[in-house]
Amino acid sequence: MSGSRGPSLVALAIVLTLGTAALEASDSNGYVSLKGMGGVGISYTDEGFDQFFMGQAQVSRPGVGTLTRKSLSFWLGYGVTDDLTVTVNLPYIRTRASGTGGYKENDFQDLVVMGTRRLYATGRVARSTFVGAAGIRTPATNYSVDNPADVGDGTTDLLLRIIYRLNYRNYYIAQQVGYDVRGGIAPDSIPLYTEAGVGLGRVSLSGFFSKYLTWEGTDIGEPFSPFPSNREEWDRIGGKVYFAATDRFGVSVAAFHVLNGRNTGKNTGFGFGVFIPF
Amino acid sequence: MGRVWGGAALMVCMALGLVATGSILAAAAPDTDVPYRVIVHPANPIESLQKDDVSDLFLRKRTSWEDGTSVDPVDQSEVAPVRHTFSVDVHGKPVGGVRRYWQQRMFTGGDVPPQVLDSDQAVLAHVRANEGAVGYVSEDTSVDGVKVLEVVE
Repeated sequence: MSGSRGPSLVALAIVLTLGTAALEASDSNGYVSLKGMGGVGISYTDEGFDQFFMGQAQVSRPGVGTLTRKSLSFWLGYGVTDDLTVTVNLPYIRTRASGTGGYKENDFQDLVVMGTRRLYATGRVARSTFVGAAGIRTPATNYSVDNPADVGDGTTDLLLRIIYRLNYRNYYIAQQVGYDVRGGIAPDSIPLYTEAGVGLGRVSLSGFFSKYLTWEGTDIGEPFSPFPSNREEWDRIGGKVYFAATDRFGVSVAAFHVLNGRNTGKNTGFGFGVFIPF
Repeated sequence: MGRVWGGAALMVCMALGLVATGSILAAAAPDTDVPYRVIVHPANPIESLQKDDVSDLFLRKRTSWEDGTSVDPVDQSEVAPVRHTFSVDVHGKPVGGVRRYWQQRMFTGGDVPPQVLDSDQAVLAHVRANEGAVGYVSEDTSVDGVKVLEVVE
C-alpha cells in the first residue's frame, strides 16, 4: 500500500493491522504453569467500529463504513518446569468493511510463541513475583498485506517482556513492561499492560489497562506513509469474568474499549472463551 | 473454515501429546495411605476445623484467621505419600485434581499454590516459626512446638 491511495483506505489498513488477538496473546499477567501441566484455550472475539484516529485526530464514519473483526484464537500453554512455561497462540481472523469496496479477508493471522520464566519470587502472604518473557510473532500464512481489510501487519517481530506481579490474599495486580522489535518498516513499540483482579471462589474478576507506545513512524495522511510504517498508539481498558465450572473446564466473558489512540481504530469488542487445564 | 479446523486440530494434537506426558508423570503417584495431622502455630486459638474449612485454607479460598492474621498454608511434595492421603481426604480429589484447580487459578492470575516443603520436619519448622501458618505432617511425626487441630467431618 502506498500514500497514493485515498486516506480512508490507508486508514483502514492501519486500523485493522495489529489485531486484538495477537496483542492479547503477547500481553502477560505473569502466568507461569506448573511443571508437566498446561492448558488449552479457545476464545472468540467480536469487535467493530466506525471511528478511527487519523494521526491523533478522531474521524467518524469513513467511506468504507463500519469495520468488523471476528477472531477465533487457539491458545496452548505448557509448564516445561515449575519456572518455565511455553505458550503458543494462533488466531483466525475474519474482517469485513460494510461500505464502499466491500473489502473482506479471512485468514490465520500471526503465530505467537512465547517462553515465560519466573525469575524471582518472594513472600508467602504477600507474594511478589518477577517474570521475564521472550517470544516471536510471525505470520502463520501468506495473508494479504495490501488489502484495506488486512488481518495483520505481515511482519515478524521479537517480543520482550518483564512482568511484576503481587498477590495478596484473593487479590492480585500485575504490571508488564515490554519492548517489541518490529520487523520491516514497522516502528518498534513499547506495550504496557496492567491487570488487577480478585478471586471469589470459582469466579475470578479482572480488569486491565493497556497502553501501546511508539515513538516514531508516519501518520496517516502524510504524503508518504507506506504500510505498516505508521505510528500506532492506543489506550485500552477492558475486563473479564472467569468461571471455573469444574477443575477441568472454565469459561470466560470479556470486553474492551479503546479510549484514545493514534493511527488506529476506536473500537469496542466483546468475547468469550473456554479454558481446559490438563 | 477448513483451515480453522486444521488449526484447531493442530492445537488439539499438541495438547493430547502433552496430556499423555502428564498422565505418565501422574502415574507415579503413590498408592499407600499415610495418616496425617493438621498443625498450626501454638498461638493460634483454633482447636478444631471441619474438613471443608481445612480445604479452603489450602486452596486459599479462606485467606485469614478469625483474628485477622493472614493464613499461610504450606504443602508437601507431590510425591510425598502423606500429600496423596491429605489431598483425597480433605480436598476430595487426587493431587492431579488439585493441580488442575491451581492451573485455573494461575491462568486467571488469581493466585499461586501454597509453598511446597519437602519433608515433615520442614513443615514443622515453618509452622513453629509463623503464627499464621497451617500445614500437615505424617501421623507418626513428633509434633513438639506446634498445635494439632482436630479435623471433623
